[in-house]
Amino acid sequence: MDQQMFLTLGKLGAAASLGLAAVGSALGCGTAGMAAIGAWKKAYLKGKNALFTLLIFVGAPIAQTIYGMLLMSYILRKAAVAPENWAAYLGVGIFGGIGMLASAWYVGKAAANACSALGETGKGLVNYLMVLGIGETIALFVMVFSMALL
Amino acid sequence: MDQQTMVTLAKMGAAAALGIAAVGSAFGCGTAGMAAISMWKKAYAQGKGALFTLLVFVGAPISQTIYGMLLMNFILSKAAAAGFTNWGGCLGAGIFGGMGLMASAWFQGKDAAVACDALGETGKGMVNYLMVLGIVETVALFVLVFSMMVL
Repeated sequence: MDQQMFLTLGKLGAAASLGLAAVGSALGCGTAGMAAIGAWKKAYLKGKNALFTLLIFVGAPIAQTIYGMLLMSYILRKAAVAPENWAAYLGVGIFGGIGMLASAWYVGKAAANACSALGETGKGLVNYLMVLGIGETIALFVMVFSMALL
Repeated sequence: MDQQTMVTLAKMGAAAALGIAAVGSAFGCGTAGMAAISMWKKAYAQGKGALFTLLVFVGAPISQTIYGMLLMNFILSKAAAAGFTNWGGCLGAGIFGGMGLMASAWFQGKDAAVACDALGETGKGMVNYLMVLGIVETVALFVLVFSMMVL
């Protein structure tokens, strides 16, 4: 394998990191969004106002796409300097991407429950955000420890 | 690997970007469409007029196919350049970027289905529902824009 082949395989890993993280963000935001719309519908049916705050929960899982992008640009920078380490770039991109995917997806599920809970009781925003923060931490760990590996 | 093989592998990535994104759009529009039709059915059964606005929700996930087409074009234009070697980046952007677009369109369609139900029954909250769809759409936009860094 020549130098150019190393580099392009490293870039394949970079693309995987972004794409897989984005899959998780889409699943997460979509799941939370369904719950938010459902909570708003309930509020309208009862003649109450829709709680705009629920959009915070819907947007929470999008952060993992940004982490995926950061990991991607880190891989691209490393691959330009030391392309012979291509398998590590590929592995970090694919498996790190899967880690972020799972984090975003399940942050979204937690956010969906948070929408339902906040919509019905109007209490506990801080508690719910802490739960989302814990899920988010996993993606942060994946990003930081992956960077340490490279 | 010779030049022709590298170019054709990149083109395979381009095809994946379009095709996989379109799968998501089809799932999304189809899901939202089912919800819209059953809302209209309910309205007709109750002797009310059908809310035409629901078509906005049904059509929302189609944009990801357009993003897939744009990503395909970017990949093709990179692959046409002289001395092209980055087939791996193009293949990865096509397949994994396409998957990102697919997930976005699919779950935007699920949101749109719930929005059809909510708007059809309450007649309120159009802006809120569109904002939720916008958040999911943003994921697809991020995929499209950030994928260009790999090419």
